[in-house]
Amino acid sequence: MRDRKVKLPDIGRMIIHRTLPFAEREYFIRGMEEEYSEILRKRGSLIARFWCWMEIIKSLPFIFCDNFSRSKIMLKNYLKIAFRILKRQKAFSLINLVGLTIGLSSCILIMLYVDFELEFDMFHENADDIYRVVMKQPGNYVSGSTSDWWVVSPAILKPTWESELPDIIKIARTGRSRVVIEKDGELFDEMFFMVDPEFLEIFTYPLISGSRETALNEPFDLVLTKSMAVKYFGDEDPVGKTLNSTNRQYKITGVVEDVPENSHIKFDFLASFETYRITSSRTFNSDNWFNNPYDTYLTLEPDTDLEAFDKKLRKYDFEGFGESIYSFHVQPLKDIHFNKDIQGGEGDTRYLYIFSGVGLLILFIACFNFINLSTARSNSRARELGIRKVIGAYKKQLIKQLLGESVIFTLISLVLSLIIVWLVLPVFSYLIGKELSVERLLDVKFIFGIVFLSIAVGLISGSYPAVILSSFRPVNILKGDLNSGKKGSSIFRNSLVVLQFVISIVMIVSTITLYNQLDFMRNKKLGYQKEHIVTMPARGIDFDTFKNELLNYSGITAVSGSSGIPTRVGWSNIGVWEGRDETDKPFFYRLNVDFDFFDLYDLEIVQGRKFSKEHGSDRGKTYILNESAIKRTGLDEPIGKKFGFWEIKEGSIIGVVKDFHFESLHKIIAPLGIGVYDRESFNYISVKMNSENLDDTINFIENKWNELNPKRPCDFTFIDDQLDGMYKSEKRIAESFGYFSLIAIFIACLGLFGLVSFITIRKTKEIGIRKVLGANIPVIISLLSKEFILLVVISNIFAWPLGWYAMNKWLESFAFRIDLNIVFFILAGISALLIAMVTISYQAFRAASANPVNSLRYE
Amino acid sequence: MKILTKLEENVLLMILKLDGEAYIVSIKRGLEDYLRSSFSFGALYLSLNRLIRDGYLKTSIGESTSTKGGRAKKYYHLTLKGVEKLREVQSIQNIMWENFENLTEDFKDAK
Repeated sequence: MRDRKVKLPDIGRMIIHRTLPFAEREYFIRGMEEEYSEILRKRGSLIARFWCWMEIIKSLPFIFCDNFSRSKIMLKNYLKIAFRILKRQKAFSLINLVGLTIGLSSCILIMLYVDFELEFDMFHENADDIYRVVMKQPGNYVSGSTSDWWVVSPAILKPTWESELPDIIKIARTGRSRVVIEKDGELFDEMFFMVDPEFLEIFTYPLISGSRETALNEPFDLVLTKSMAVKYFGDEDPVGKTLNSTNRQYKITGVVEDVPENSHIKFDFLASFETYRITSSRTFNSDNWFNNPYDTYLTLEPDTDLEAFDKKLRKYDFEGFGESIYSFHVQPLKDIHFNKDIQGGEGDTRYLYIFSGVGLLILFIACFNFINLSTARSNSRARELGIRKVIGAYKKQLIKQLLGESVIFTLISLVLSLIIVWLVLPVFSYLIGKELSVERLLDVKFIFGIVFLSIAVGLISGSYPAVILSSFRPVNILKGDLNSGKKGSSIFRNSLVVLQFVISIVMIVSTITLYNQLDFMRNKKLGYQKEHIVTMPARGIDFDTFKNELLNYSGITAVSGSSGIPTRVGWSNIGVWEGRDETDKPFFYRLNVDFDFFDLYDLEIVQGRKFSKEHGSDRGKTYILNESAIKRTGLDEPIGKKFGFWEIKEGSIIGVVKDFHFESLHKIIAPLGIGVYDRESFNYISVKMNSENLDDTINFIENKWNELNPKRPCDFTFIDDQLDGMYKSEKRIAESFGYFSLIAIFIACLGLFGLVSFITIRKTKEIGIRKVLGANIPVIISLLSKEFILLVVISNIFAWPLGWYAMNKWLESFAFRIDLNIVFFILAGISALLIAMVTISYQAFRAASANPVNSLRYE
Repeated sequence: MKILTKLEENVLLMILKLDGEAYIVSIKRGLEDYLRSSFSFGALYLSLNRLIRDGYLKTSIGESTSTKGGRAKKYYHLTLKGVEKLREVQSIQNIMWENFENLTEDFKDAK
C-alpha cells in the first residue's frame, strides 16, 4: 500500500530552504515529511500542522548552530589561504598594508581630535543641565570681538536667584584670585579658583581625599589637584595641613583629580568662595549689580522650558552705560566651547569639519589603493578561484572568502595603526595644540567604533575586487586565457588613480596657500615697531621709579606706560565728536598712553602733532585719532574739532596717526582714539631695547622689577611672540595640512607603484620581445609610464578649480590676504608629477633593463 | 580526549541497533521509543553532522528498499573510529558507575 505523497506546509518548506545548505535540504525535508504524514494519518491535519510548526521552531537553533560549526571549519581553510596569499605576494601585501595602515592611522588620529572637541565639558554627570550665567551688555565691546556678551555676575546674584527662582537646583559662584604661595622660602605665583561648595555638586570633580560636604564651607578652605598636592607635599596626604600665602593661611580640606584637558574650566586650586568675605568683603557684601567680577554656574531641572526661564530673568535687567539695558541670560554648558561670541568659545567647528574632511579623504585614497591593487593582481588568484569553482564553490562562497580576506587584511592593518597612533599621539597633540590622551583610545565605545569602521572599510573596499574575481569563468582561467577583462575595469581603475591625485594635489595647493598667507601675516608691516620690545602688566609697581631706573641702563632705549598695547587694546567706548548726528553711536577703541608711547612704537603722525609735555594742557584734554576713526567721523578738517568718549567735555583732536594693526589681520582696522593720562590708568609697561645683548637687558629688567616689587613676579613677553601667538591656530592648520598632504601623496604614489609593478609583470613578455626587436630603455620606460603620466596630468585639470574655490573661501576670512597666484597651482602640479614619475620610473627602469632571455623563457 | 554528549552517544548506539537501516526518521523514532522522551529533528541533525565531522559516522545514499516511494535516503553507519569511541565511552562508564550498589546502600530503604 502506497502512502499518498504528503508534503509539508509551504511556509515550513520555505523556512527550511533558507536555513539549510543545499545538500542537506532534501533529506531533512523527506525525514520530516515521513513523520508528518504519520501524524497526519493518526491525529488529523490540525494537529499535524501544529506539530510541523513546533518541530521547525524547536529545530531552528540547532540548525543555526550547525551552520556556525560549518562556517568555522571553512574559516580555518580561508584563513590558511589568506595567509598563504599574503606570504606569497609579499610585495603587494606590503604595499597595500602600508598604505592602508597609514590611512587608518591618520583617520584614527583625526577621530581622536574630533572626539576631544565634541566631548568638551561633557564629562560632567549633569552636563545636560548645567548652565552658565552670561550678560548681554549692548554697546560694551571687548577687543577682538564685536560681541556684547559678557561672562560676569555679581556676588549677590546667587542668594537672590536661589530664593526667587525655583527652577534652579544648585547654583555656585566662581572667581579667580592670584595668590603668591610661600613654601620653604620659595615664592610661587598661583591662581586660586574660588568657588561655592555647590560647585562640587554641579560639576563632577571627584575627590580623591577629603569630604565633599565639608571641603569648601569655611573661609580659607583649600582643595588641591593631584599635581599640586604632589608639587607641594610630595607623597603625603595634604588634607589637614596648611599652605601659606604671603599674608594668609589656607587649610587644605581635600584633593581632586587633575582637570581633564577638554574642559573650559581649568584650575589647580579650589578655594572656598567664603574666603572673599574676608579678603574682598566690599565686593562680597555689595548689593551693587555692577560689581560683577565673578562667574556663576547653575543646574536647572531637566526639561525646564528655557524660554520661560529666560523671561523670568527679565526681572533682573538694569540700566547700564549709555542708557542701554543690561540683561541676564543662561548659556548651556555644551554651547560654551563652540560659541565664539562668548568668552570660552575657543572651539572652532570650522576646523572640525576641515580635519574630518581631510581624514576621510586620506582614507579614501587608501581604499582606492586597496581596490586597485586587489583587482590588478586578479590573475594570480584566478587559478585558485577557478579550481574552487570547479570543485563546487558557489559564487557567493567565493565572494564571502574574498571579502573575508579583505576584512582580515584591514584588521591586521588596524592593529598596526593602533600601535602607530599610540607612538605618534604626542607629536600630533603638539601639532594641533590640544592635549589628546591615549586613554580615550582604550575606551570601549571608541574601540568598538574603530573596529566597526575597519570592518566596514574592509567590506567596502573588498567588494569590488571580490565581485570581479568571482566572476571569472573557470574554463577561461584554466585554459590560460588570463585577461583582466573588459575595458570597463581599466576605466574604473584609472578614475580611482585620478581621484587619488586630485585629492593630493588639492591638498598640496592648500598647504602652499596656507604657508604663503601665514608668511604674509608674519612679515606684513603693522605700522608700528614690533622688534625688541617687551611688555608687562604694570601690577602695582611704582612706575616712575621703575622707568627712571630702566632708562639709566644702556641697553634700554625707551619706556612707556599705557592702558593697552598694540596687541591688546581691550577698551572701547562710544565716540562722540563735534558735528555728528545724534543718533550715530559708533564704537571706538580706546587707549590711554604716556608721552613716550608714540616714539617707543614709532607710530607715524600724518596730521597735527604728537602729545608732548610742552603743551601742558595735553593731559586729559587732547586726543589723537587713527585714520579709520577720522574716516568714521567724516570730518574733513579734524584738527581742533572737539572729541570725547560718551560725551564731549573739553577734549579735542590734536593729531591723526597712520592706521596700524592693533587686531589680527582677519579684521579691517577699526577706529581708535588715543588720549594721554596719568599713570593711574596704566595697565601695561612697554620697554624698547637695544638689539645687542638682549639677554643681559632682560635680566636687568627682571632684577629691577624684583627689587621694586618683590611680591609679584615680572610677567614680561616680547611683542613679536605675542604676534606669533595670534596666528597660532593658522600655523597649526598649515603644519597639519603639510603633513597630511605628504601622507596623501605618499599613499597615492604607493598605489601607483603597485599598479606599475603589475603592468610590468603582465607585460613582461611584450617587453622582452620589444627589446629583442631593438627597443632601448627609454622607449620601454615611456611605454610603461605614458598611461600614468597622462592620468596625473588629467588630475591637475580637476584639481585646480577645486583648489581655487576652496582656498578662496578660506582666505575670505581674512581682511588682509594674499592673492591666489597661479604659481601655487603650477608648483603643486609639478611636484605631484615629479613624485609620480620618480615612483614609476624606478619600476619601469628595472623592467626595461631586465634580460629578455628571462622574460621569454616561460611560454 | 573529546567527550561525547549523551545524545551523541545514544545516537551512535541507536545506529548500531538499526544495523544499516539508520536514517534520520528511524533514529528519531528509535530514540523516542527507547528513551521515552521526544527529540526534535534539528537536535538530531546537529548531532549527526557533528559525529560525521569528528569521523565517527559515515553516510551512504541508499537505493531504498523501504516503503517510501523509491526516493533515496541518507543512511548513517558507524566507522571504526566510532566503534572505538563507543568502547572508550563504555569503559569510562564502567569506571564511573563502579561500586554503585555499595555506595547507595544507605538509600535503599528510603523508598
